[in-house]
Amino acid sequence: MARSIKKGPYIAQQLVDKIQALNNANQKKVIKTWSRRSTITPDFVGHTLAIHNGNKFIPVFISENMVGHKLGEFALTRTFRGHAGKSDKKSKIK
Amino acid sequence: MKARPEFVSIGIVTKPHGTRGEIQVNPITEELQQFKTIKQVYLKMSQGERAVFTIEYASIRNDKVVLKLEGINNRTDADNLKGSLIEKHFDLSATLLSDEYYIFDLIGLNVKTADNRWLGKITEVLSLPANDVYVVQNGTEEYLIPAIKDVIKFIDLEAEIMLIQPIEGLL
Repeated sequence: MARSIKKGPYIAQQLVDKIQALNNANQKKVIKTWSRRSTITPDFVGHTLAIHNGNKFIPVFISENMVGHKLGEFALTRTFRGHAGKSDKKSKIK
Repeated sequence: MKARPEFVSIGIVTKPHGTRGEIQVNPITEELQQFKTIKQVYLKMSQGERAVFTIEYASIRNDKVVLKLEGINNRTDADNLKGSLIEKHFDLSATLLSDEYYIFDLIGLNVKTADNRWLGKITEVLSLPANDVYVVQNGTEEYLIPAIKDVIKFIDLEAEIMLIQPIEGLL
């Protein structure tokens, strides 16, 4: 069942406070968070959050198309190490 | 600069498909359509030897690929290929978009900050939904560096150096 619209999205209050402080000071700083259940709002866009995946803090750059999703969706908890041999996979700097 | 590999892996044979010798392939490449254009592939068996095969046809179903190789005409022959790596010749002429790098080129790069502090070498690239993350290790410490333009300032594959400008709180 979806969350009631009346309540609005859930965002951890301490995270909101930190993001607002950075936005007010027009600063960029990596914020560590364990709150994987927090929803990404437009205020987060452009910031880099270090989201805990149960083991490490994964640095995630928040972009516009991530708004409305939860933070945990972008810091996967399981890592697939891949197959032996070199593949032609590429990495893009965003 | 590291030598470019002669072969690159594009898939792994998971199981036979049907009774006519088709094989199901788990692709380890982002360009699935290349299975339809490549004429020949190399199968690297578990013992390490390579055998060349001609692709008769390929079909792409969701995120899986079904291949029919010339000379493999029954399920038993197809079953013998289970677990083999499918490789192709690395295309040296292939062009990359700007800010795009092969992962095998990035592995082993020395990562330095703008103030010339050596952080370590890239040991792994994590492909995550938002951005890739480079795992940098120097024996004692490990750093996770996001592959974003705000942080990665310069990559020199010839000198095997990546220069970063860490955001406050990243390291």
